[in-house]
Amino acid sequence: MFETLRNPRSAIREAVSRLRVLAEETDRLTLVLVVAQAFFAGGAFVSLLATRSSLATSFFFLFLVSSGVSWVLRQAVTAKILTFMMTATVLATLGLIVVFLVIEAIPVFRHTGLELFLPFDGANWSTSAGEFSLVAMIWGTVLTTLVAVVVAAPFGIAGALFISEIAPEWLKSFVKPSVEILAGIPSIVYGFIGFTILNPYVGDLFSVSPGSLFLIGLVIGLMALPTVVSVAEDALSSVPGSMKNGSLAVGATDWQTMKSVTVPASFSGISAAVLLGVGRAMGETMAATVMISHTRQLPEPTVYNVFDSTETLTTLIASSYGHVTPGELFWSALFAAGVFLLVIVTGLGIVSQIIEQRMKRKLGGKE
Amino acid sequence: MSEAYERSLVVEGSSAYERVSAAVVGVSFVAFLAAIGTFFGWVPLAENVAGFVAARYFGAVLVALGFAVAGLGVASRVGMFETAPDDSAGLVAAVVFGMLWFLTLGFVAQAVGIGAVGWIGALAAGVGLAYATLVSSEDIGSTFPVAGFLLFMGALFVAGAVTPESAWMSEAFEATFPGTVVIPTATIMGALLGGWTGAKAYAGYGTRGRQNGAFLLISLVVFLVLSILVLLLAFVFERGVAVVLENLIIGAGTALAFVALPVVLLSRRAYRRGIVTGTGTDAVSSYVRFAFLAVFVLLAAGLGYAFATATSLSYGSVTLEPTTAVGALPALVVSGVLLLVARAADTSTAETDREQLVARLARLVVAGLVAGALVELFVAEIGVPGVPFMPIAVAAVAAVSLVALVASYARDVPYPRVLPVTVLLWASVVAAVHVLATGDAVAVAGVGIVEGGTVNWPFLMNPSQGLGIQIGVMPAMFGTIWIVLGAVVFAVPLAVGAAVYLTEYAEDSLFTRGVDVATNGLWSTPSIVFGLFGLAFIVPRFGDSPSILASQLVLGFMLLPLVLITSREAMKSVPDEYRDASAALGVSKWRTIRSVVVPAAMPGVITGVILGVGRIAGETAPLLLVLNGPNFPGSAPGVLSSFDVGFGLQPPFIHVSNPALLERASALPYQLYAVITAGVGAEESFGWGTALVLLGVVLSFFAVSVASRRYFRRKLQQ
Repeated sequence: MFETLRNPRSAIREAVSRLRVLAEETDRLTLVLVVAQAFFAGGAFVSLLATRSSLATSFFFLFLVSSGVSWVLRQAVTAKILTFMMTATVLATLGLIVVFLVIEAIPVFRHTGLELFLPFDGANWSTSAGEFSLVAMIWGTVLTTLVAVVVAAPFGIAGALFISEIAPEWLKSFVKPSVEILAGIPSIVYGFIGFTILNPYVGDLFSVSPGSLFLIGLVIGLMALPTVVSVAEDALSSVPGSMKNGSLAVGATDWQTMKSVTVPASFSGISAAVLLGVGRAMGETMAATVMISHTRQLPEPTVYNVFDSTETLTTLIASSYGHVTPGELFWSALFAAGVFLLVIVTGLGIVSQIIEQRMKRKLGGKE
Repeated sequence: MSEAYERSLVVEGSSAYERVSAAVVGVSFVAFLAAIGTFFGWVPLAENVAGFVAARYFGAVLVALGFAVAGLGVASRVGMFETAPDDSAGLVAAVVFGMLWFLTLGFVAQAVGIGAVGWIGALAAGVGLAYATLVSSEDIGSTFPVAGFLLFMGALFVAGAVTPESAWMSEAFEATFPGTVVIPTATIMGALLGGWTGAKAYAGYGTRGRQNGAFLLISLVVFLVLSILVLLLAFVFERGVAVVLENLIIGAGTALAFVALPVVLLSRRAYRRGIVTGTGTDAVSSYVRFAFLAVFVLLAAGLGYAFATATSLSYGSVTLEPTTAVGALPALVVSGVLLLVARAADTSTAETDREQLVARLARLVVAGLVAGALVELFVAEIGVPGVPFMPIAVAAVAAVSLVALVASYARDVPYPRVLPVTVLLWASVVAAVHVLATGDAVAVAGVGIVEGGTVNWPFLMNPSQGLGIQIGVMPAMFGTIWIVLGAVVFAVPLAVGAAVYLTEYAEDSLFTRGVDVATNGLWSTPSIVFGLFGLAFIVPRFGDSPSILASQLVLGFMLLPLVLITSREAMKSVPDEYRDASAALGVSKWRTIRSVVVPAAMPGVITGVILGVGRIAGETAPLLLVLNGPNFPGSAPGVLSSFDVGFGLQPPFIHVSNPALLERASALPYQLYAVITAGVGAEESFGWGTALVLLGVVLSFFAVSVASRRYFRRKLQQ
């Protein structure tokens, strides 16, 4: 990767020459078929982008026909081309998500400026006054995520330690699927329980209005827990057995081995798990949407009051849609919230994945 | 006399010290459970029990634990028992105890009313205590701070200084903390600390003690999380089951078909492998299987009783009618599953000429039957008026294969034993299809297959709105089915293709690294962001309104990374020997992929697809934006009936359209959200029913994927 970056011009030249060799080596029919498929697929994609749907369908049909012909005549090459295109869609999807969210978010950023994200004076949310600052929502997201991480991180790491190190085999074969099933419970079910049972109960207990950030954080933390457990467990079990055995052989107990060998060796993987948990908690929508109060202000009397309720970025989007029409500043503000989430959460996901891969490479002795 | 005579090297049985510390752990655990129970109202707290407020008993338990813990420390320190304490209780314990005492004293000062000064004092005390813990011997350092906390809190509760009625108002949080929260919370804290210390003492402190303590705490945490899971599921089940099952009427014949399926499967397994096999968990699970078999056999016997006496059994609002006919759809499902099992079990091959002739004949007959069924399904009924052809053919085939089956058992001929069963099952599949296509029953004296009416399940079969009906979730269920189906059709080929390219063709390059990053990014992108993307990109391009199609595409995009990651893993785990062996035979690369790699990776791919479907089936947030149907739809989307294929002069000449796909609709998770937002308009019980159905659908996907992964893994290891 770094070699290509160091000298882009020679890399391009090399690629072009390789392409030329490839073109000379393949027969003409294959070349025609491949070019036709690439052209029609590209045409379909471009006309879809330009919202010319009938043109896009025509191109798509042509693409299907040309692939069919090519499949019959040159199956192996067609398979390679098609799977390559399928791989490219993955890249294109993320690209499209980023581009379209940013495009829609630009108007509100022009209107509001940096106050959109930063707590300057007058950074308020008031649709009637035309003020669209997301500061209160960002703060709400921060508070709920903090509470969630306080729940999910220690419990998740403990769960991972239990599954990978402590539990005997029979218990492990029961606990691990259970945790996976816990991950499968839809968030709206948590939300429904929170809305009908927990909100009134906690409101009653602490004499606070329903939808306290504390409670939402607890529920979200419980939902992020399985992610933390499974990723951290993955990291722990990727520590080579020889390292653990070495420690046990010099007389250390299991716990000492865990504390001084396994956990430090997989520390980066465990922190990746926690980061991923943070991302899950931030991006969680439904449970919070049905429980929160949707007052778009900072908590009172102090901003740290987790027993008050406000709004988070995700709940803002989920609850406001239906009240807005495309092209409004409000509409654009929702996309700004989306961009913020995308950058932070997707970024966290990518970073944690890179950390994890690096750790595995290191433990595998390849670095 | 030297010490060696007084102390044996191996102590048999447990010493008094171990027994006391085990008791501390046990009592702590009970106190922990009881304190959690007060939050649910299972354990009294503010009520009077035998003359005292229940909270005082909690105090008394804490005091007792405190004395016991202190005693454990003192007894070890003075050398009454042999322990192996370290010189220090360790940094972790010091920090925990310091924080504990800092917070306890701080809150006490706050409650007494010396606020800021009190917090400073508490900080000093906490730091001092942490230092004292660090420098004192482990048996003292890890017991006395805990004992102090237990005794202090316990004394407060026993003396009535803190009662369930007391309450503290926090100005910063605008919340009131009542005694009903403080007492259980303090008890939970105390129980955790007491249990931790007890576990340490049990193993005689030192490294082994710490291991014991740490393992206890971790196991307790896992226990807590799992019990929350069980509680959650049980709670939803308890609330929803009555609603879901209300007015369910099921025919005994259909019920018997469904009961027969597990009976056949389980008894076949027991017959082939023995009732109890293996050791450890395998033995336990074989007992469980046997118990299930017994239960199902008993159920079948109960159904037989219902037939014999022609009485309808009812339990709650569920009724079991003594009809002997089986519904066409249940018959199709059951015989289809059995057919798959029979095919998988069929290992016999035709060897002699006669056997081959029989096999070929059977195949011909089955092909004829299936062709007839297809004709009936898509064209018209076969037969002259008044005399339907298919039932007669089916009956004839069934009779012949039954005779063949009996004969092969009677004469103990091993070969065609599975064959007649397969033919019989095919016959019943064809009969069911005939009934579905024509609507006429295939039955003799009430026994046979009828078109429908053997199951009447209002909650699953009724629309969500209508006059004078019991409302159900049928439209939402169909919405979910269509959306998930569309997402699978859209995403799975893409994901599998991409996985093939990445594992088989691609070399490590900038492109593949970019795809890696994009996959991980998409995997962790919040679902609501996918919804926004659908709103900005998909909705304007496909019908300009929220629709089923848009939801299919959006959920498909969410499914893409899930399936891609698991498919890639599956293909990577196909051993290179397979590829090499295929290449050594002169097979081209693409043929190797098609006929070696992909089939070998298929189990993993399927597991990943099921897991991904489970995840997207419960997804709600994007549906709010891109599906957004009516809160309580009166009918299901008619996707199947509104396909429209036309030919025209304009490109692309073949026009396929389906207006139903471009309409708004509902889905199970969306329906649950609608119940919440509809507020007083909706009954809460309907929501619980919907939640139960949703959980059932999603969790069965997860359970199937977990089970299939285990099955294939075990198969690979064999």
